[in-house]
Amino acid sequence: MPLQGGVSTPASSCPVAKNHFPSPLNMTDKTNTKILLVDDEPNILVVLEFLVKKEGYQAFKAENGEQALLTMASQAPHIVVLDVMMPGMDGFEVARKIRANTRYDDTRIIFLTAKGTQEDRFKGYATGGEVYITKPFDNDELINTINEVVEFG
Amino acid sequence: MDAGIIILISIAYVAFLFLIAYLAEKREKAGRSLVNNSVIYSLSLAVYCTAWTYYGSVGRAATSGLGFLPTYIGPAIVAPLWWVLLKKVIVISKSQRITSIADFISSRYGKSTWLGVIATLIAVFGIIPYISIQLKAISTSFDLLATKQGALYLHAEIPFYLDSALYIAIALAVFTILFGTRNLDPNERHEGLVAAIAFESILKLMAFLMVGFFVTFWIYDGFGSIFRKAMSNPELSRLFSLEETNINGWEWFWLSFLSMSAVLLLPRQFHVSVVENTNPNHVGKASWLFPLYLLLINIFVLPIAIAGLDQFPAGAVEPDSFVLSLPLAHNKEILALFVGLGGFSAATSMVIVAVIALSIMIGNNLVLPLLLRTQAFHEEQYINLNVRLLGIRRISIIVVLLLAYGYFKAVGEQYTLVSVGLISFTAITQFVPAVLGGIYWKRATKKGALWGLLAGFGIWAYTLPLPTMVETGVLPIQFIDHGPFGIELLKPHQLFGLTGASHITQAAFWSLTANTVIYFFVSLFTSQSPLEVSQADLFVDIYKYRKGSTDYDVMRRQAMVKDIRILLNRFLGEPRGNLLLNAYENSQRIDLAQQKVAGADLVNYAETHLAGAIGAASAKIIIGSITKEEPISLEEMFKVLEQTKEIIQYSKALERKSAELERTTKQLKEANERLKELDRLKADFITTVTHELRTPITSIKALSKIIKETPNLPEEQKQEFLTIVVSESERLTRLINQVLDLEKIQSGPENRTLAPIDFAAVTERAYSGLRQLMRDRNIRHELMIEHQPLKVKGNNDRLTQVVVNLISNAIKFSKEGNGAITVHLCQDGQMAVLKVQDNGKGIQPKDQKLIFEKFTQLSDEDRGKPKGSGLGLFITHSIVAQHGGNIHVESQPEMGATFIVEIPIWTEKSQ
Amino acid sequence: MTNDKVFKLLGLFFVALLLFNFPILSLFSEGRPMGGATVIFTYIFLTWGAIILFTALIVESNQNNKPR
Repeated sequence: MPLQGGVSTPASSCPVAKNHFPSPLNMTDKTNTKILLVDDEPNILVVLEFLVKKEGYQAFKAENGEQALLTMASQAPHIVVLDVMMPGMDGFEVARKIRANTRYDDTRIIFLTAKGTQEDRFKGYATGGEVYITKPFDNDELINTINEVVEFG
Repeated sequence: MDAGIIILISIAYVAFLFLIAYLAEKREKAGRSLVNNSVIYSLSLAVYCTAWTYYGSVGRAATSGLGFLPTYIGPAIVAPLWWVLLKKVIVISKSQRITSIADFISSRYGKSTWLGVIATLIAVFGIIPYISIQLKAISTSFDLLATKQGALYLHAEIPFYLDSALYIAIALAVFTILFGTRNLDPNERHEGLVAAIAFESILKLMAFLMVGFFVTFWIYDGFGSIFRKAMSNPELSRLFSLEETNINGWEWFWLSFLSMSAVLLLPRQFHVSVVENTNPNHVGKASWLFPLYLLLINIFVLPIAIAGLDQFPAGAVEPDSFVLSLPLAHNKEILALFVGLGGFSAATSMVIVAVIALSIMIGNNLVLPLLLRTQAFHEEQYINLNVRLLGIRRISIIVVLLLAYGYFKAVGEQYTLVSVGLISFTAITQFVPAVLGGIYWKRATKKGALWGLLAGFGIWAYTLPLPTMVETGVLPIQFIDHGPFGIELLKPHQLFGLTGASHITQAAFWSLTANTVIYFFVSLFTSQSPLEVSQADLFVDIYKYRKGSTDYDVMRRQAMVKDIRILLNRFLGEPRGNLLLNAYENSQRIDLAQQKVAGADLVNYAETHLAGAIGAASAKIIIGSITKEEPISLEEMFKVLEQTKEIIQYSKALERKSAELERTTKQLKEANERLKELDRLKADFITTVTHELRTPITSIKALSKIIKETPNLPEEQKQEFLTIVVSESERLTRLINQVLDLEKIQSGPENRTLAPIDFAAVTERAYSGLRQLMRDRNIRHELMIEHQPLKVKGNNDRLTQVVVNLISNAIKFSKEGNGAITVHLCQDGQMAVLKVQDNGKGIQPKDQKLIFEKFTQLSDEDRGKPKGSGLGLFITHSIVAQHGGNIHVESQPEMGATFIVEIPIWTEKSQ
Repeated sequence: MTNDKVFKLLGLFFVALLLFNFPILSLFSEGRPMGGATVIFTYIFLTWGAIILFTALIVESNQNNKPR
């Protein structure tokens, strides 16, 4: 959506990409950065965990929404990599719940999904996701994105 | 005179009558009716004057002076009323197509068969004595002409085969059959007969006037001289005094009353005045011409009687034959022959018309109803009904004449012409209450008429004909003198102790009183059937129904049957209209083509059916328009109704169209919904398939890259990753295969032949293949196979796929961590039944059918992320269907689901 | 057919009924000659003739009015 001189407000029908643009996390120490990985496919979790740990982050795994929220409460991760299509609570629902809690205002959410439609993408942003990555993803791209979020928000 | 000549002249005379009849019928066919004429009509009514008048009046006058007159005074008194009464009866009869007096009575009271039968019997038994006196008159006059002497012998004393009266009866029967039953006229009209009768009336009047003139002006010098002669003789002057001839007011009244009734209701009178009538307006002229005829034929009766008494020594000549004896005594043989011919014509005309009238009654009201009731009378006989009816008529003519001859031979000779004739008059008078009440009193009922007639007829039979049986020795004389079983009150000639009246008068009084009283009170205390009500209405209010139309030529042209046909065809369509009329014809056993005027019955029938189509009120109006016969209003009515009909049809068509549109719209909407749903399902399917493809590809791609870009990856991790890559690749292959399978199954029946295979073995193998997976998932599992082997006709791979799909499905949905799966195979009749049960969340009833459809996946709320492509159950369903089986699911939410597959058992026969 | 005509004919019928019955008839029951015949004979036939005449007059007169 083009912004014209920062004066006009975006059309109401368009989902706002970000209603709050948080400042960069500025986490200098990657080992202190906690990343929660949520996916119902164990094989994908294997991949994600390997990639994130290799980059030096702390990784936590959850196979569904409930597990994810429990881990949120106990670990308060900085970043959540969230699959959308999961049994029980889906990724959007999990994101909404995270956003409802002010404690997690600084938590960044990265959607990782096989659902690649524009509609899903909007829905992802609307529910408070920062980034939307479609499967199958590129390993480097994923890591770069995570790094960017960590460094610049 | 030679008897041969007399017979020859008689035959020539009869031949001449036939000629007249022939000419009249020829003119009728040419459309120039001779008979459609008020003078001919009046003359035909003179069939009233029979041998009774011709010979009997003189005989009666010779003993009781003016006592012969009430028989003719009665008609003279009532004639002014004919314009009212007779005309009404004629109009009714024409509209109802009435063929006899019995028919008239039966029609009026709801077309009662029983009433018709009773009236016919009264008429037949009442008239037989009357016919017998004609036979007597003819044979006596033959005897006289042939021998110049009175009766040569008593007919009762000679064997019947030598009796001239028998041969006269037979000749008359032949004559009547030839006249009356050559063909069957639907209206029972015989123009030839009427012409002949009219001619006979002229002849008998002329002959009688001739003999009157001869006696009065030839033998004597006019009335004055005869009357003076009579006055001088105390024995004769007695005849001019009513007192001295035992005529009192009571006798006079009853005798004139009897004749008033008889002149209208005698079967032959009813026949000529009503049935043979060609135009009701002829009644006008007849109401004065006919009395004039009677006056003329009676004016010389007393003079001839006086002359006879004066000329012949007392007791030498029978007074009944003075008319013939006087010219003979003066040797005027030609005159005598002419007079005899006049008498012959008087007798023959009466016999012919009376017997024809009776035969119509017997045929239509007695025999036909009985025939129609018998089962033997079937359709094919109905076709020849005309022939049959003519046969019945001919037989009844012969029977009636033989009965008359029998009566004559048994008792007739003992009585004078007039006394026997009056017995018949009294019988016929019994019709008066039923007829008069019938045309003026709507309340009169069938039961009233029936019981009244029976009572009157019973008293008549008891008081008049029964006592005459005493003469024949059938009954003892004590019957008359002391009553039956000595009960004086029941003496037939002084019934209930009534004395001082003649037999006729007391019989007439009692029978008619009983008849009338019973008729009246039974009518008041009984109710009418609907048909009786409508007939009563039609009879009493005939002019309302035939307003302004007294000329029934017009009436007959009204062709109401045609109108009804038109109405029915117009409003119900031609096929149905014809169908209805045919049904009516069959049920009533009539031929509408032969009928012009429809009875109330058909009108009601038509109205009822019209009411079904156009509503009762409209039906009443249009039927009213044809019954009132207002052609213009009918026309208008048609126009209005036609328009109404069109509007109704139009609106009906519109209604139909809009209903059709609604239906089409609904169908379109449904189709659209289905398409939308299909579209949605397709989109969902694509999403699902995409997701399902992307998931393994994601793992494969990521792990391959990791392995490739991480040279120092530990071996065991490398192995783990490669295992995942392989497994995910297999998953991918499976998915692709499924999609391809689906395509194959969808593209029609496979040409792979189905062979008998063991479903139990298939199930076992598939189950074994998945056992490890169930163990891994910690699912309790059980296999029960009741029959082994269980042969079905099928494809091994496909059926394996079915079992695998169902078990995989169960694994997918069984309770997490505490799953349980039961696979159960058994035989139920001709079916192999496979049940796969899980203990998962179950399936909502609304979804139980849906899950077998292509692309269906249960919604996320219920199931979360579906773990399949959405194709598994659809593929299963398709395979099962190809095997001639079926699949369904039984489930309660939260109670698990059971998928049940039924496949037909293989037998030798099913090859 | 007019009602008038019906009433006239009905009247004529009652008159005839009266004239041709006792006691009127008994008034003429005499053997006395009259007009070439006896009283009763003459009475009956004259009355008869009169009734015929009146019937004819009533019936035929209206016949002319008939064509409407």
